[in-house]
Order: sequence, then C-alpha cells, then structure tokens
Amino acid sequence: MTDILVQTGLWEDTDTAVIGSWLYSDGDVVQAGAVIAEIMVEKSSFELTAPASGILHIGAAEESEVAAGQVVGRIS
Amino acid sequence: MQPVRSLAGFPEPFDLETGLLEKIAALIAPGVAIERGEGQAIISRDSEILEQLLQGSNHEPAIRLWVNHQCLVTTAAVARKKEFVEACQQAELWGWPVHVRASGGSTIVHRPGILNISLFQSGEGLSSSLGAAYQSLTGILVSALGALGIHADTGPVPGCYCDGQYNVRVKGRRIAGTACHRKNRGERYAQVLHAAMLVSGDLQTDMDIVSRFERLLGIDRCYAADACRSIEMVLALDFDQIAASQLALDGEVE
Repeated sequence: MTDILVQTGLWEDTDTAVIGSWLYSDGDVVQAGAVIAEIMVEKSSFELTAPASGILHIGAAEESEVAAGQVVGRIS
Repeated sequence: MQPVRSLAGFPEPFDLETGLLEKIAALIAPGVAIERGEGQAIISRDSEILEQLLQGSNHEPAIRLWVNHQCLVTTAAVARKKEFVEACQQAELWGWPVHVRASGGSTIVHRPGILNISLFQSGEGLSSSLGAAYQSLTGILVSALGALGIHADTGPVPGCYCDGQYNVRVKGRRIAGTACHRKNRGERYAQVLHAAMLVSGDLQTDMDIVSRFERLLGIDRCYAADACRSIEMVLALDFDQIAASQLALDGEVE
C-alpha cells in the first residue's frame, strides 16, 4: 500500500483545503504520475497525482476538508 | 459617460467610453496586445499555455491580456451538479452562454468591459506560497491602478459573487477578482494566476445574471449590488470630486 498525501508547503496553514473532485473512482487502476484528484484552496485548484501504479482506494470524500500532509487515499 | 479627460497616468486626454480598457491594459503589461475571442476557446488557452510550460524549460513569468464575449464562466465543481445542463440551456436563452474554467471559486461574468489578466509562472520543486503567488498578480494590478491615481489594496469583499481573500479592492469594493490553477508533472510545476478586472459596464446586470444562474443550480446566495466597482465608476466619482473641489476653489478666488 502506498499512501496518497495532500501536498505540503503550497498554501498557508490558515487556508481551508477541500477535495474538489476525484478524477477516478474507488477501485480504478491508476498509473504513477496520473492526475487523480483536484484540491481546491482559496479559489485555486491544485492537482493531486498518483504516487504509484495500482488500484485506487479513496479515503476522503469530495468536498471534504483536508489538511496538508493528510492521507486521503491509498494505492495497492 | 464621462467626456474626454486628462488623467494622472496619461499626459494625453482620452475618451473614457472607448479608451479606458486599452489604457489600463497598457499600464498592466506595456506592449502586450489584448486578445479578443469568444467562449470556451479563449478561456481554455490558459490551460494550453500551462501544458506548454510544463513541457518546456522556460521559467520566465509571462502575462496574457484578454477580453471575452458576453458569457458566464463557472468551475468544474459547479459543472458536475445535476442541474447544470438545464441551467446552461436557460442561461443561453438569456443571452449568456456558460463555459467552464479550471481554476476554483464560483460563477463569474466575462464580457467586453472586463479585462482578463493571466500571469503564468513555472519552475521546479515548490513555488512560492499561494499568498505570495497571488500577490505577484495583485501587486501588478494595484500598481497599474495607482498610475491612474486610484489607491487599491487586496482582501475579501463580503457580499460580492465569487469572493476570496485576494480580490483587488478600491475603498472596500471589488474591482478585480482572482483565481489560480496549478499543474504538476513530476518536479516541474506551472501555474496561472488569473484576474477579471471590472473596467466598465453594468455591474448590476452582472450580479443579477450570476444570481439567476446560481438559483437554477440550487445555490441561493445573496449578493450586494454595492460590493463591486468598475474603474470607470471610480474615475467618474473622482472626477466629480475634483470638479467639486475646483468649483469651491474658484469660489474662494472670486
């Protein structure tokens, strides 16, 4: 299992970040480096890329708040 | 509409009705031509440039100035709502086709009289913080407004549609809204900071059309008509104040 982590250092700690959308469904096969989700922070969209190839396990729902460094899913 | 005036940043008098957008564009990015286009193509050009920056080695910031035809521009999140297709059909009947952008926020207006400014940045590893990135764009806009004699700052404007922390404000009213889209490929990043600057036109209609569209989507937000200002409005107010001051002075002299 490889954790999918929200990026760190890109926005201020006081900003609220949410999962804007998952671009794949739970259980889909993804390739390392593929853009799998969008994080929305203060009217800004950031891409979240797959850290490894494998099966995506989504751990945070769309529109849910997330913190920098948080695990939002895994790839098996 | 104001007649020909001379203005702080411009030694030559000009007509506020026809020349203001070009004047402010020249202050923001001297020598950069304004692109004029229609609909999704001119919006999507920002994403195309981001892809080119991700594939290239150019790290120099670049700026794009552009004006769209009359339309509503919303986000991918809004476009996923089940009411979206029907709402778009209705908005098109009103004369406001709907397009989708990659950056965040909510629905905004594009039309002649609104100048879009896209600032591109790229590099390796981490970029500056989000606040600093926004500041790199808003700083340019604040300086340009300053050359017109308009004092501006950045911050939220409660009551305006698509509000955020990094609006450009004049006396607490929004004169430009901002958003950002960042893409990564490995260690390389490219991002575009976008601003929509209200130069002239009917701001009440802008607000009304956004509200009507959002209600079709089940979004019931209440906006304040007084939350925004165009540059044209600010200059007209200032001219009136200048004229009033001059009359008072003339009276004292006599």
